[in-house]
Amino acid sequence: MTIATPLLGALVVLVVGMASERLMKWIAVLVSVAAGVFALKLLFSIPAQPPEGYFWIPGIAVQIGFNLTGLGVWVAAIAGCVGALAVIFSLKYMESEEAHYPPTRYYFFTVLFIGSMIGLALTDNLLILYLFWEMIGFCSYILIAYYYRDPKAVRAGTKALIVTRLGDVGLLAGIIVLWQATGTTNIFEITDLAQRGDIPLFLLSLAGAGFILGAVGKSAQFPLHVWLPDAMEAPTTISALIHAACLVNAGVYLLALTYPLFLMLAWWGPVVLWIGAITALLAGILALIEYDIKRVLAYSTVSQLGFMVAAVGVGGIFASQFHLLNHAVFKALLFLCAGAIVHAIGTRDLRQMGGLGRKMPLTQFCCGIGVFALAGIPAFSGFWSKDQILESVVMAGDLAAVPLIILIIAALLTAAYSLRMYWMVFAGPRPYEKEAHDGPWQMSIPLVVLAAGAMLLWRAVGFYSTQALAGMEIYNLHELTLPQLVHETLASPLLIVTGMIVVLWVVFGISWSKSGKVLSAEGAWADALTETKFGFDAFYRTGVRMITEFCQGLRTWQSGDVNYNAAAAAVGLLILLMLLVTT
Amino acid sequence: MTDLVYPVAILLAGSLVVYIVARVSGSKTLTGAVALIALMLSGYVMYLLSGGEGIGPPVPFKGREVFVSFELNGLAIFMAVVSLGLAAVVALFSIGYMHEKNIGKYYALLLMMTAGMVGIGLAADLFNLFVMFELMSLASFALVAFEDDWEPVEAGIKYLLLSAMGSMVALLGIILVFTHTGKLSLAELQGTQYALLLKPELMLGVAALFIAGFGVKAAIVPMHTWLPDAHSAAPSGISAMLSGMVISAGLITMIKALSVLHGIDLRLVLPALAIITMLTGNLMAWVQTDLKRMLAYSSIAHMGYILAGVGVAFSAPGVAALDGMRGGLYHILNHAIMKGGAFLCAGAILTLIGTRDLKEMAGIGRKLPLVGICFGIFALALAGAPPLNGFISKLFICKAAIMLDPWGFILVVMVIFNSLLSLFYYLPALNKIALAPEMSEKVKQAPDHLPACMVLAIFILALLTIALGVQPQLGLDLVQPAAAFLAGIIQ
Repeated sequence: MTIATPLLGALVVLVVGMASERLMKWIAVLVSVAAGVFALKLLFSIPAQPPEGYFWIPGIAVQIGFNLTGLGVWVAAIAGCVGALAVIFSLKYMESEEAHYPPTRYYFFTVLFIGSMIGLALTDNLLILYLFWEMIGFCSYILIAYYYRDPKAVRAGTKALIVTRLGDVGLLAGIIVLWQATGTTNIFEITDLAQRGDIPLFLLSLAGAGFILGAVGKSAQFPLHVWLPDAMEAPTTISALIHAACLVNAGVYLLALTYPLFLMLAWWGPVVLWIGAITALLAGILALIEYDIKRVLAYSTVSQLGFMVAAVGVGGIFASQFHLLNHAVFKALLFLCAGAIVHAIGTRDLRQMGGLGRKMPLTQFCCGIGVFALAGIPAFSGFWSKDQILESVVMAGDLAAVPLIILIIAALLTAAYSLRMYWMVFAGPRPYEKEAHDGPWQMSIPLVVLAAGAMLLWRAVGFYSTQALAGMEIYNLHELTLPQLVHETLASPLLIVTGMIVVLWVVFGISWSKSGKVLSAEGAWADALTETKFGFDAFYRTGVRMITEFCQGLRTWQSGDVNYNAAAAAVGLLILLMLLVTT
Repeated sequence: MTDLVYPVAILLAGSLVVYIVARVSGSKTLTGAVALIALMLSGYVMYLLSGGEGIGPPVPFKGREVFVSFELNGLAIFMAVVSLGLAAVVALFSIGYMHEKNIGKYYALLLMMTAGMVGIGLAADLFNLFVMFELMSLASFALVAFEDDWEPVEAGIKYLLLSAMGSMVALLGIILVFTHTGKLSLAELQGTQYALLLKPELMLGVAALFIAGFGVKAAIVPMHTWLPDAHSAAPSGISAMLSGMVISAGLITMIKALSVLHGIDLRLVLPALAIITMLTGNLMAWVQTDLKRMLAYSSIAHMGYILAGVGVAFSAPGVAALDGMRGGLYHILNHAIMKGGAFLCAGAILTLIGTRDLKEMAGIGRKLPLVGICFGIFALALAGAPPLNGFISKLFICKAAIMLDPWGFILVVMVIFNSLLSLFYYLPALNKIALAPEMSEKVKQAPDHLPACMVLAIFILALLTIALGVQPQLGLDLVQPAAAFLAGIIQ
């Protein structure tokens, strides 16, 4: 029901959209809200027995079943709820674009996007998971490239699809290897078999590497993170969806889901941990020097995803999923705030903003809460989950010492760039001159709801951990109640990190307000870094160019001369003969 | 149940009738309708012959006066359904696409070509197999060179020369088999007593002759060089037939011919050829700027995928053989649908703006949303995006290929990696057609409607692309008996 609502709803949106655009929009809202409600309902009453699956392809025995463990249900609920808020927000936000771009395309793919993500989270079958995995990839391509009159947007969409599919090569190969080794594609059956040692370690390693590649692509981790910042060309609501609800969570979810499966592989955890840590650091640095508000947020997402991935690497499934939940809320909030700002003043450049606080008090307030949560200031949701992540890395022992240090640095960077962004938008040296104001109610309601969430969600940790553990005995997790969380957090030595964050904020705050100057990247090195982004883009571009040149070279072999063609066929016959004789 | 010649005979007679109708009436609508009726009649007879309820045991048939030896089995039904179905869609499309001039010859040749393909499925001995193969080829040469222009004629001659070379080589193989065993019947040759008459060294030679000979038609690299010219120069409906079915029919012929060679080890050869073929096809398609040429190269890549499935069937025992054959045949079915559809879209665009150059197609998808959307569906299906049909059959192929020892994993990774490569040219094409910032001059001047029959033809194929992806069982019912039959005879 939860899956079917948005998927069928998307079709309705498409059909109605041909007749009436107004009606279509309201149906889209209705469908997405219904999906959110269904997902929430599922959350409060996770059935003990998942409903019966049914055979999809009898010939090869693929059964569609449902995965109603806490892990999947929470991810589905996040997708449903944030998705619904984003669609409501779109009503107003996208209105001005409707003259230039077809709204039916937008709402159809947005609803499909949300539905596919819910489907991905609720299935217990790796093949079906892959199917939805590709569908969200495709929806994101269309939605990122939505402003098709801007070649940059089209390029970004294409890049997103191709880069994530590079990861999917690994994922699909991994799924097929596991399928062959176990004869099933049900993730729980495979995990059982793996834990009993019935899967040869070599095959398990192949699959493990493939799954990491898939998750790295989808969750924009090092070294496949290049597509996410470019994806900022999308409408801001779509960015919010991609970052908070639908797309990038899939990779972290996949790693968390398959963590018990690859427990036997000694190298798997550390590799995941290192990937996460490196990503968190690199993206944090880039976020600090970027001037485009949406790109700052994009790098911040990459960095936060790095935290989550690192947590999975040391077995902190709970911490990573808790952070995923909190991040979804505050990042959606920040993106919608950014959307409200861009909507109001029409630029994304931080240098042209400043002093917007007086003109947009509601946005300032909500954005402030989001920034507090992102930076990990105590009492806001991000603080608790980030602390849990760091703690789980500490518990992993000496091996994780270097990644721990990297992650702490990344946490400090998070505080620095989030304050810098907030400062440049709302305080700043050069106040924005022109008219600007808060958005209408369609834009404000989602902001307020999300802000409340970012402030208060951590109080629900008891409920969260109970629900998240439902049906997840294999993960060896313990429930965590609110008092325990508070106690654990406050008793931990990692409080020093928090202290450093607060000090950092105070120092920066005072010095910036005195000098009127924001910490900004000055000098050639910073420009070069902003431009090259550690050279990953150039690296991939070179790769593609080399292949293209190779293909051009290949073309000269196909000259079109019949003599050569006949010769080629004759040579083919000779080669065949030789091959056959030698084998 | 001795009338297995009828499905082929009806098509051949139909080609005569169609030609006369065209000469008498001169109306292309009427001619197309008659051709459609012939195709449907042939399909109906096929349905009656199969007992109406699916596929029974193989039914042999030998004519007394003429030497015709046919057999009804799963493969014959599969070939008949796919080639008749695609031909019907193409016939429908061509009513709008072709000009009145020479329309009779066009439909007559189309029916003849289809008759050859149906015959390939039915043929029960090497002689009839070769005759039907040549019937299909002859019609296709003429169809490639159909339009009065230098490019089609050159492409047609090139196609003719290379195919003749291939046919000769394959015929040599058949002669060798015949002189050493005195038999042509597939069923008899597949029995063990004749296997001993062929020496192992000779068998290797014959295998090479069959693979290279029929491989020309099946566009296996390096025998593929005629294909990009021929497929891009032919009328678009014919391109759809050539890419969708004719090259696959070449491969089916090759499998049938190879089935008479016992215990031959193709474990290295076929998967290696598959990898080379798919890589070459995709890399060459990467740099094409001509839409039809790009699709033609992509057909080579898809032959590589099909060959991967078939190669597994030849190399692995038991279950894997059936799985591999099923993957290969299912991909033949899907490729017929999606590549046929993509070529028809290219044809529709060509009708409107008169060019195959991708650069000048900017924004055509906005002018004609239905064609744009359908092309998107076909392109994504070709690139193997779920839940469309191309994904399902590639999955079958991968599932089977992983069982192959020791190539399995490499083959699987190559298939998936090639699907990624294909995105590198499908996405830019799609961006150009659907997401271009401005319409090009030619697109602006183009009329904004198409004949209904063209749109209908494209729409049917797009619907099938989605339906077979969401509910693969539909196609499996057709593919399974054919795969079981082929896997049985190659063991």
